Amino acid sequence: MSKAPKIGLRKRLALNLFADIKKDLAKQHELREIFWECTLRCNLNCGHCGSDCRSSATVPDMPAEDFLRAIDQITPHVNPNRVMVVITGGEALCRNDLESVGRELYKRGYPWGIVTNGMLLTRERMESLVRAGLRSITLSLDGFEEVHNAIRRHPHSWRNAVRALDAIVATEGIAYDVVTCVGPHNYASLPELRDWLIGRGCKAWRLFTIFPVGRAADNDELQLSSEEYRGLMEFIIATRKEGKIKCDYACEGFLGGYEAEVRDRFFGCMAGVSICGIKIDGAISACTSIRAGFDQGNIYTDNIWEVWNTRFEPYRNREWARKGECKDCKVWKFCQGNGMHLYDNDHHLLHCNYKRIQN
Amino acid sequence: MKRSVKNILLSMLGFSAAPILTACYGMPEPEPDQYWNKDFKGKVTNTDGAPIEGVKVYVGTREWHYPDYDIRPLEGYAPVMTDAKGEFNIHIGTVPHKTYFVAEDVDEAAGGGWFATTEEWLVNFDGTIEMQEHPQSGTNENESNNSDNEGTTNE
Repeated sequence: MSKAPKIGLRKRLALNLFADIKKDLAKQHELREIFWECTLRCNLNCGHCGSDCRSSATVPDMPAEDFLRAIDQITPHVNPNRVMVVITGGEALCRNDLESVGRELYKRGYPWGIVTNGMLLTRERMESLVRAGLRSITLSLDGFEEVHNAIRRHPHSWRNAVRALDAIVATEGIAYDVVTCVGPHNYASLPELRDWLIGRGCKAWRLFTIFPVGRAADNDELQLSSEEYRGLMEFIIATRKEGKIKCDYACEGFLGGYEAEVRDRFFGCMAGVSICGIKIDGAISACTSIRAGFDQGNIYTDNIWEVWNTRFEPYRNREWARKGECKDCKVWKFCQGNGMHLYDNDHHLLHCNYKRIQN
Repeated sequence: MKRSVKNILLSMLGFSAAPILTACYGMPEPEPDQYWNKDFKGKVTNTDGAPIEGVKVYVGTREWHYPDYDIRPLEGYAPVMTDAKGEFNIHIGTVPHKTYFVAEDVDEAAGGGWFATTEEWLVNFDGTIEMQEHPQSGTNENESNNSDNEGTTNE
């Protein structure tokens, strides 16, 4: 296995420029994406889930009117056409009012989309969502039948995900991708899975690695070794060169010499910089995978637009994260302490992608 | 240093100045195609570049969003006719679905027999229009005329 590539001079110059641009973006603080954790109910019980959701959530779904009230506090201050609403869960499709919420968002001018496991996504439901203004969708697929069903802990999860994939691929006029959480369970079959996706007509594939939060925190067996991790990077590079499917590594963290090789763009955690989020309990945060210790307010007690403008300091200025292993790190300027979702409630970094590559 | 200068320098180095747009648990960013609110101009010509007058152009969308469904006129948009220069102009506001411009030769004799069947153009976000082959072309008895009478459009 080859070593991780070093950051060359040209890329280092570019990363320095990009670090300055990130500062500008944090200062600008333009809202571009709103997450809504609409339910904690889920029809699966995945072993690698980064959420704390349960199949029969004791936490009730957030009423649509509560969410829309928060949206209405934002709408006068933004161009809704430029602000994407990401509806997630739990499993968003467990709600039966998504279409009516979607139409309300659409009336206000917001493009919206969902992240789904595909269990409930038939061709008819897909059409119904598109008619309600759905413009983007992400489907989780973790491998072939045996592997997918095992990690998803449901005997029909693969069959239903494939049905969903076919509906998504056939639908005109939407953005989409398939996401795969890569671990030891599916690492070896990635080339075969890639070719199968291409054969199925899929145009975009995003690869994650499993980070140790939620249910996955208790399962070390889900983690790739450093060698496998570098192997994943090389696989993505080879797939991108082949050009038969758009293949990216997710926005997880800073990747050193692999920056701009496994993704089109440089890493920069935009949580709280351009991404806001509303959790199931009304907490105002950024991406919903970020721990509660970073919550900035609550829609039931605060005006979300005021919160967006007057708080979020820990997201926009990451100097607090310059501690522990990050304190003297030579790539701090480029990384700024990795993604916000990789911190625990006490603001300690759980995972360093850069270190994993270097090991 | 100004942001625009940094952007240019990054571009010269071969990199994008934009951050990753897709958040970890998010979806890819779609083109904001439902929010055009702009005028689209097209021109219908034959293969010799001569304009064709009197072609009906309307805004259409599929009954369902799958290629095997027909394209129907979109409610709220009246059809327009190409003028003597073969040109048409349609204002698109908010549309709920993927949208096509559909051209039909409503009077084959007067229109020069250009259209044997309905033709479609996919309207891109940047306002350009590209011709699309109709999924049902070939079913019309005049289909063979198509190869001699291709349409082109320009913004």
